[in-house]
Amino acid sequence: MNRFTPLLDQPFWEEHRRKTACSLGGKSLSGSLYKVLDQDLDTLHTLVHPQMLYAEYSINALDEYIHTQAGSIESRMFSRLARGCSPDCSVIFMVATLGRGFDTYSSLIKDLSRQFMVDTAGSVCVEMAADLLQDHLLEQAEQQGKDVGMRFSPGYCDWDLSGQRLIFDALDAGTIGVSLNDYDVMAPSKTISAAVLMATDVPVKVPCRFCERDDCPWRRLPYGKAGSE
Amino acid sequence: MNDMDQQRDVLITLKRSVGAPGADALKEWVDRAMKESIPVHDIRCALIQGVETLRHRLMSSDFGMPDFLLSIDSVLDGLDMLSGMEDAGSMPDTPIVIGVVKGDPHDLGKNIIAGIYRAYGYRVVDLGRDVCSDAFVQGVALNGAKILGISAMMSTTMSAMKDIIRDVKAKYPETKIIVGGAPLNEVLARSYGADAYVESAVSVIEQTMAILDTD
Repeated sequence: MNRFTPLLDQPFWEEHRRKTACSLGGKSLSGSLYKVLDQDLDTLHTLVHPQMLYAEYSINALDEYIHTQAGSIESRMFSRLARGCSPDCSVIFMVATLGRGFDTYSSLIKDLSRQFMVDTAGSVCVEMAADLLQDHLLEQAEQQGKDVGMRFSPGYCDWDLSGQRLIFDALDAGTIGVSLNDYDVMAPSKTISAAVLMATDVPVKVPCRFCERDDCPWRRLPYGKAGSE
Repeated sequence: MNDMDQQRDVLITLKRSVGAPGADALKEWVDRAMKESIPVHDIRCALIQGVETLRHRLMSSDFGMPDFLLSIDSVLDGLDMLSGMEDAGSMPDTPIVIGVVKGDPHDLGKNIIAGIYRAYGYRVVDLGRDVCSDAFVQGVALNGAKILGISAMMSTTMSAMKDIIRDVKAKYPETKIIVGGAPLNEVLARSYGADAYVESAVSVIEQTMAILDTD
């Protein structure tokens, strides 16, 4: 079990501000809303303290699913990726959370416009934090002469949301204040859980490569793109 | 200029103040309308017309969602100024009960829909989030709701909608049920027994009026 607490410096927060504004419509956002957004971001940047956990598990068996000591990842798409990797492939489970400070702050907001913008800011921030962990995992892998794929989360693609339970238990996510209710919904609200493949050779990093669905809002590969990502 | 012309001009300016820059512009014109003794019903209608103009701009991508919601916020502030000042010809009382299913903490979508309903003059009873089936049934019963809105954002929580709809329809078959949320679609919503599926906040008013008209 490894804990990762990134250093969130000024460039990170400036990038967060830029990405949040872009997600909200960029230049189409009115001047008055920009001011409100800036004030909320100034506050959030003092309240948000991302915490992350990750752990590596070897793969015991690989068929239509990936079977680890922690349990089975019941995704045919992800298993297909793993079967294409070199035999030393392992799975890293990860969880990243912004913590309860974000939820506490957003629960106090009554204006719909601010609720919408702050929620977007939280989503952007937790994704950026997870990206930092992903970069850290890549650094760790490269030190071993290995590569990593992109993160794959329960509730997306063909991995049912119930896969949250596997990751939650594998990492004992309660130690960083993450809980899971009876419906496999995590709290705090801005929390990401995922699995990442690590191996000497990871030729395909996302299952989108094999997916024929033409209307997926979460696709991470341009349609018609061949070759590695 | 006679009084009627003056009142008409105030209402036109009030309508245009919805979505205009300046946080207090709309409230100032509501205040002006009240001082001109314009009927509350007419003031509300002007506000609704202003919101409707912006909704069409939102549909044509001429306006962003954050600014549309800012306009809703200012209209709700304006409506608060009118509360308690009912008069003959006030908006018809069409109670709407709304809530998020049990186990689901995501309520932003529900909050937005509730706010839009209020801006359009509906009376909204918000049950909050993590609401069980019995509470939805009770909410419909206590408020005589003509519309029940149910929201779910997770695939693991949306299945509860089927039971809620069954329980509500068993006791109050005349209540129309609208559902919404990321994991849903039209086919799934109909299979659950819903009367309408709302894909986005932009279309909720039209869809609500459409199912009320089917009575």
